[in-house]
Amino acid sequence: MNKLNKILLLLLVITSTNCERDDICAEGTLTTPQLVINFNNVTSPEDSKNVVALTVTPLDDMGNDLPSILTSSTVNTISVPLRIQDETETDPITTSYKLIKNAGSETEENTDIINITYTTEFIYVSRACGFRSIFNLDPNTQTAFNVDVDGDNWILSFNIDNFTIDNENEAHITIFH
Amino acid sequence: MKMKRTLQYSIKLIVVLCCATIGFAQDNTAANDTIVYKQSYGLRIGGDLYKLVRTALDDEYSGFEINGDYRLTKRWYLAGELGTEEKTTTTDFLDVTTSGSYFKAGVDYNFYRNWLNMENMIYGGLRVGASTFKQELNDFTIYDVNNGVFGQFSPDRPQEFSGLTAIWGEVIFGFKAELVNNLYVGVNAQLKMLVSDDQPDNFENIYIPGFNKTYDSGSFGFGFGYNVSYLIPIYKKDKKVTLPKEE
Repeated sequence: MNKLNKILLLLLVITSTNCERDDICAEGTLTTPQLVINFNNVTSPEDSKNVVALTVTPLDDMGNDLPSILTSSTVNTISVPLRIQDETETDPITTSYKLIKNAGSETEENTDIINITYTTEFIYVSRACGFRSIFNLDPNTQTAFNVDVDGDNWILSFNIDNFTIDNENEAHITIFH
Repeated sequence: MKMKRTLQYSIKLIVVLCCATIGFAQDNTAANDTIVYKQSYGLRIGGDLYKLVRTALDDEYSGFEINGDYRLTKRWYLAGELGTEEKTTTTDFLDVTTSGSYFKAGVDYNFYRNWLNMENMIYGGLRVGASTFKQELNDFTIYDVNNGVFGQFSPDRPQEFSGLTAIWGEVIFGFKAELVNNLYVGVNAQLKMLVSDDQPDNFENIYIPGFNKTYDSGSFGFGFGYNVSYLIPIYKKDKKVTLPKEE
């Protein structure tokens, strides 16, 4: 019976060690990226330049304010999430943000609205993370990224550095001010 | 937990049964040094009880397996399994239903030196398994850590990946005990290694019928079964047992 017991024990061990450790999406996995915008100096385009007291407010598809994702912070780069639509949609989708410079100042506050237009593409990651979305900016440079003209723009010009938003390692847009 | 307890219980039951049979067998001793017992050779056909119970209890699973073995020699058996499975895997971000059928074929080797006229098995075996299946991606949610701004997105657009196949090798350990005349119960555990599988485009095989769950960490898989089977005796062969001489 000794041999039998050993084999039974082995069977028990094998059948009870079916653990599930693949089920949590590991931190640091490349998932849905945000749009990375750098702010550079308009007079020396290679140099970054802080935007003073910047507030970043997303707009919903009706143009209404959503809760701000950045409030009165002095920064030279921001990362903003993009709205996701189904990848089978052929019409591109637009996400808009209010970038408010000198937020809170009665005399100096200046709001510019940026619009990003793109299509989505879903990429399988793993069983724990499922799918992520990447974004392909509209090939039409007029609509891919633009700034609403309001006669008093603090955003003086911009450059699209990368039409494919696949990761957050490098800036996709550089804004000059 | 419940499964483990059931397993423990069944093992106890079978051990008790084995002992009981040994007890009876020992009464059979004759004065001769050598006794000849008739051993049945034939086709043993059965089903996997665990899959049936799980089908009844688990909303996300249905499965059925028939298995059989044919005794070739004193220790070697030809063995195989045939089954169908449907399993829905739900995680926070995926909802996938895998369905298909599988076939496994190979050999079993009985390690157990049976007492006298017993015909129980403690065996190890090898199998080659093959499955054809499809995966339906019922729904998924885009993994986006920044979904607090615009909310989560699920396309609500089922996709089907069909015509998938997989081939794997399997090592199996288990035992079969004769409960009553020609009726056997058994437990086995299977360690599987995937040899090849069709990976669907921009997706992966979450589950493979017969192979069970796949793992990110490698090509190994696990499985087990509780079998009930019936031996259809085709012919009998003598088994000579030499008893130690009593001084």
